[in-house]
Amino acid sequence: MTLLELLLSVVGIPLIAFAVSTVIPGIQRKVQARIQRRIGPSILTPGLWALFKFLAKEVKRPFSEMPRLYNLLTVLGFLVLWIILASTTVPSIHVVSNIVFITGLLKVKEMIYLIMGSLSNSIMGVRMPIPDICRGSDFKEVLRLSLEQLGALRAYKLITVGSFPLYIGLALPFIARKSIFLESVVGDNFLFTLPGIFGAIAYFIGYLVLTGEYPFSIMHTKADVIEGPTLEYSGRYRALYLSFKELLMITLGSLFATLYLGIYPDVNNPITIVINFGVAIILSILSSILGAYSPVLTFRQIYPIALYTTAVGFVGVLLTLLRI
Amino acid sequence: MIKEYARKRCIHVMLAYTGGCNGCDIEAVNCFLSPYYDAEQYNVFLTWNPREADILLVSGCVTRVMKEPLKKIYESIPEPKAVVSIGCCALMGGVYGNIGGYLGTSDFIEGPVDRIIPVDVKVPGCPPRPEDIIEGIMKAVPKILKG
Repeated sequence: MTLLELLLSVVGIPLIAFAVSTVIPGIQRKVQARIQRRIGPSILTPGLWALFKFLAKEVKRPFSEMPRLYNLLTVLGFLVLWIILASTTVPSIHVVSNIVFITGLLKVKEMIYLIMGSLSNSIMGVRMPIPDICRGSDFKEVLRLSLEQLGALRAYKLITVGSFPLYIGLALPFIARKSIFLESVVGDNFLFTLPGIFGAIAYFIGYLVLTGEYPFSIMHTKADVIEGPTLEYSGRYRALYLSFKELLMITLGSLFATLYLGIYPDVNNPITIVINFGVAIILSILSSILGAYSPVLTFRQIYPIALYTTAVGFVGVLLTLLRI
Repeated sequence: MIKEYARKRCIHVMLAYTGGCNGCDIEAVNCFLSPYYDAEQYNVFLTWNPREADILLVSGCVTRVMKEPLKKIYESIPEPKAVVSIGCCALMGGVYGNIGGYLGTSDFIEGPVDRIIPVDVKVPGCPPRPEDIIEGIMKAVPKILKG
């Protein structure tokens, strides 16, 4: 691999991915609107024009103990996803294109939400000035959380339980090849095998949890935490957060195409880039269809779903190990 | 040019309820989420986050406890922003403002809204029709475009 190819791989392909990802929120919103028998917004509005609009808006100082760190977390999140995407484009460089590196960075991404929630404390999160006894109890010695802290707690629960299916789905193709390196996985069509189907189910549920889409949007639910940890971002930092969200969707979709179809975005073979990002868009459309029919699940429902989906993934692991 | 175009193509509206019967809120939500009116087709979105909002839609008579939160919500919205007050209560106190009848206005009402924050567009009605609310939002858009 020449230096130019390397540069195009680690800069150019994530850039294309980012450009493509700006239409994903619009497609999702449109699909959901059509399911609800509405016309819905134009496809470019929620992802692209919203991005430009937020860039042109004023940056308000967030209500936070450490406002600069809070704002910089969006940059960190964006960079983490960029690196994940870049690492999948160069499978020959084993140091970065392996399951340990990718999983580690995904965990960093999950932790970012937890830190965001811990640092933020907006006016929407201030508790009521009178004791909340509406629920038939005076809540003595109960820790009262602000909305953002509640969002952080939910992020923590999702890290510990909710993301199991994704990581088991992520590991399955590597287990099948008995290797931790991406190079051994690419070129191998794992999806259309029996363990591959089990793994794909687990991966898809994990994808929904990690992207925070319905029905797993409890961390960001508008019903009670307004927007959770990310409530306080304004101006260009909200634009960055939006980019982070868009890039996450395409990164996880691209990872699926790389691991399960064996097609990684190869700079020397442009059709692989098209297929790879096409699969990522299909995955996001599927998630929006599911989201249109789903309520927001609480942890009472999320725990068993995570457990059963992990079990499905585990069956996939057993089948792989037994070479069925 | 891109800035203006982007602002025109993507408008986030935050609904703030400040006390009252919720009739205006039902009609406002009807504008955005019902298949009949579907304001999203004009690229107008409903949000609950002041940091994301461009237009603050205020309903209700502004009770005393809601005065400070309303001010804070207004201050939290980044520039450029506009305020649309909807319904009789938000415009003149409505039945809550005149609850004392001949004895005078109620002490628990701090409204109307323009006593607390600057209002750009006023939409009358009890409750206002969804068409009027959408028109009110559209009238506030030029202020946002100018920035």
